Amino acid sequence: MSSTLLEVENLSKHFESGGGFLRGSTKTHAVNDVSLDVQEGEVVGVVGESGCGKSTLGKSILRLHEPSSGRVTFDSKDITNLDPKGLRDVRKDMQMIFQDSALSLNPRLKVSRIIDEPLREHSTMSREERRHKVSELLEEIGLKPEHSERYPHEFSGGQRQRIGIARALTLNPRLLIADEPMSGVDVSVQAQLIKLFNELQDEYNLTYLIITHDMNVVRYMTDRVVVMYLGEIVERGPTEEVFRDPKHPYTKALLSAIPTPGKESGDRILLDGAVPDPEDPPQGCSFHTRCPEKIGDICEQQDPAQFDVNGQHAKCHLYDEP
Amino acid sequence: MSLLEITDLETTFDTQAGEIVATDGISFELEEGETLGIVGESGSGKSVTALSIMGLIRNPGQVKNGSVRFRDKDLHSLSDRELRKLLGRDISMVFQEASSALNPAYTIGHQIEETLEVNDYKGDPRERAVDLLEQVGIPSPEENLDKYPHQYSGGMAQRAMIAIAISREPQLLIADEPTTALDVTIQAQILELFNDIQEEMNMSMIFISHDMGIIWEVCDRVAVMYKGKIVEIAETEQIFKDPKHPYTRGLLQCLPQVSEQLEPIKGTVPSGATLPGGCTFHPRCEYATDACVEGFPESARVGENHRASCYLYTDHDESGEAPSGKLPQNQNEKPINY
Repeated sequence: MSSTLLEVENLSKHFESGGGFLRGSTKTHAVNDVSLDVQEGEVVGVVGESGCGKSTLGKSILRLHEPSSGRVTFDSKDITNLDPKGLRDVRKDMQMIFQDSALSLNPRLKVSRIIDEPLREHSTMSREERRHKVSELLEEIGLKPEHSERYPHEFSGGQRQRIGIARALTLNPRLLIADEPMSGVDVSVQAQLIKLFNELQDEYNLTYLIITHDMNVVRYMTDRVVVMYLGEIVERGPTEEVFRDPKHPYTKALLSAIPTPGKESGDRILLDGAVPDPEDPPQGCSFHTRCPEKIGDICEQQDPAQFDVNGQHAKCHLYDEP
Repeated sequence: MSLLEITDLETTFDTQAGEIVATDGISFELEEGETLGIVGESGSGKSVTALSIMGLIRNPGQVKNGSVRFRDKDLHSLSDRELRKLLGRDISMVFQEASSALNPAYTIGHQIEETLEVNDYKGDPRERAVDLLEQVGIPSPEENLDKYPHQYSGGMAQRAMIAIAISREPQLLIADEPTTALDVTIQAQILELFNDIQEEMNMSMIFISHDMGIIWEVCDRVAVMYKGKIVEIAETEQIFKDPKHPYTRGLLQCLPQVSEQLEPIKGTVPSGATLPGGCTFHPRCEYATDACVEGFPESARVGENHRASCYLYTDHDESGEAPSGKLPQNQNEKPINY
């Protein structure tokens, strides 16, 4: 029986922008009342298009953004209000891999130092032990020992992403949150990285929360998936089920939009227009302005609840049966 | 006669690290109304091919060799003036990032009208611009004509650029990764738009993409590029159902939506000036033999309208027969199911 490693309850993150003397500011609800859980050893995906709040969600879970409200529990411990020292300890167990490896590695440090940094900070290892650990990690992620004396700019995008992975692994974390770990690399490199993620999971007994816009990657890698739109979760469920039989109209459109070899585009659901401005989201259901299955005024007036449809959850009035 | 005929195109760039051969003897033809896809990873020479056709290669780059014939006219022998007349009218191009390809200092309307005027449009440019925006699906065109590019979303800006590109009803449209910067639902809209426009205007397209899914959907024929060379070219169905070149096969095995068990191609794409000798793919190829290290295989016929550059097939070419062959079976190899 697996246990819940991460639990997120009603998490919201609002950003205020603009504003000034005698002028109101606008509030953007980047993440709005999001709840999800991740079981030990599981791979959960968060998918959505740009601006849906998936990255903000990842950062808010780690408290790289302070959540505006809601609760994050890691390994049965409420981390929402931990003091900096307590947070430091928890972060050993939950690490993040960032989207842009060129920006998230310090360009002035050699690779050996980048990977060594968390060990210096958190461990009591001797210098010799640390050096040993660094070379072990380099080998693990498929780089050569001589690479340790190079700087980040001397590597390709795929290799840099591997260095980011090594850095996240130094402290043997239990949870890895990966924000678009495969974006901006070629397909052959993407396939290598996916394979690496799988191997590392077995070896280090890892749990992943993978944030991405790429449905193909999500389908291949994850056990369960949550779909976000305008800061909210519109559907969640087991990955296979969601892909085979999506319930929410947005998920349906999103999945049908993926160009797939062997599949005709004929029955594609085309959405009108673009995602509305998150500073000024629509009333009622946030998707109603583009929804091809809108059932009436209720969609414009009332924000739907999450309804359970055979184990999948969809935030849509279609499933509101009295 | 083909609409476009490219023979032995070689484009090089002089860099501090030495001369980089970006396209290395590329040849293909494009028929009227046809869409040819060019697929490959970064650095394979897809964009340089497009820019070479358009005559947009500038110092330190140069087209060293080869010819580009459009309606039997050699583009590289035209004067700048003649070339300018042809480009934008008969051949036009859509770039990857609309927001950086459009001029931020002028309204969308201005930029469409400018294209029309440069190309001696006789009617009322403003009226035509409104029609064009309508054709590419931009709502309230009159109003949106007077907006600046930054007021457009990514998808809208791409539509505007397409409007500019088709303003003089070109016979050939080259689209270089036109949906790469867009979200998947917006991408679907733009692909649909390309489809509609092509049907309406019966133009030919060269569609460059790194996304095999898009290539499948949009193209009639596909050229697969690796390090400046076309390693395989065939009708789209053929490329996907019966890939001949080990690189093409490798690319397909990398797709999480296609492959049950991902089989990444080993190693990485070699960079610019330090290309391996022989067949440039040999260090990553599981079928490589001594011959592959020594020479680059000529393109050989491997089926109907299907050519590949690989020593696995060169022996068969002389007889004129298509080889019975599939790739030699490898025990780790999984069949590709769509």
